[in-house]
Amino acid sequence: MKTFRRVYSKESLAELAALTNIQKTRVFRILNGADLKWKEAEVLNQLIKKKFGSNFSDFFYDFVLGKSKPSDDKKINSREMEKRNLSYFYFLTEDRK
Amino acid sequence: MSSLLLPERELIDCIKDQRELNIEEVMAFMSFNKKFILKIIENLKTKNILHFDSIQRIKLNQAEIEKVNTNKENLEEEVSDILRDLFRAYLLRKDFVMDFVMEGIWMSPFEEKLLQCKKAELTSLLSSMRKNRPKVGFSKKLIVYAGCDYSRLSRFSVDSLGS
Repeated sequence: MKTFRRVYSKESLAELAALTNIQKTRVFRILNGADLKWKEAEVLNQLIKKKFGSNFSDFFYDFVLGKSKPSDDKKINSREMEKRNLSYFYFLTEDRK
Repeated sequence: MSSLLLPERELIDCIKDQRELNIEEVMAFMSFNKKFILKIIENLKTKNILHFDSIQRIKLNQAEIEKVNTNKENLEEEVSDILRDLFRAYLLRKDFVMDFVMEGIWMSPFEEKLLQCKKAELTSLLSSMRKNRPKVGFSKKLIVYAGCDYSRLSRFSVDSLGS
């Protein structure tokens, strides 16, 4: 969600609702931390993809949706999560020539 | 306690001993763009490793860095990551990896002594270079080397299982 919000930072709540085809109140709840449904996550992912092209890395998406099984070790999880966050941020901000 | 990711460690290495942060200079030393460097700075601030009033006036929290550096779990994670990334880059034939040597060699006692002499030379060279500070024209290299008794490491690897 953070990524989505960063990518679509200028859009208002109403615009986001129209963009995602999700009800405004639901968008508000999602933005405030409500768990995403699978379909909603897919819509958001598609919108991020749309903005960044087809070479969007799916690994972050997979991880967020729990497709990849995180380890039971909480410390490794948090480090792994940090790494993925940083990698993803790098992907979003790297210079494209 | 949070461990450091490699770009965070690299940034700390770049700015240590500096009171003012010159982003352009840091950009020249690191291979990242400004946005990404600011993100790393933000991460380090969250980890309480970096304090700043403004982006120019920075201060490293040496006590916190010391804590991270002396935490065995953190070190194990950091070093494992570095070795994995280094080896991956080597396997992918990335041109920034100079060499990666790992082989078992039989040595006579004389050859062992010879190796120790060479190691002492290398250690002394590295120790003299350690005093260098970031400068235009300098490039930072990561040096990794190790040597050990093959058989004892092998025993250690099975011995430490489950510990």
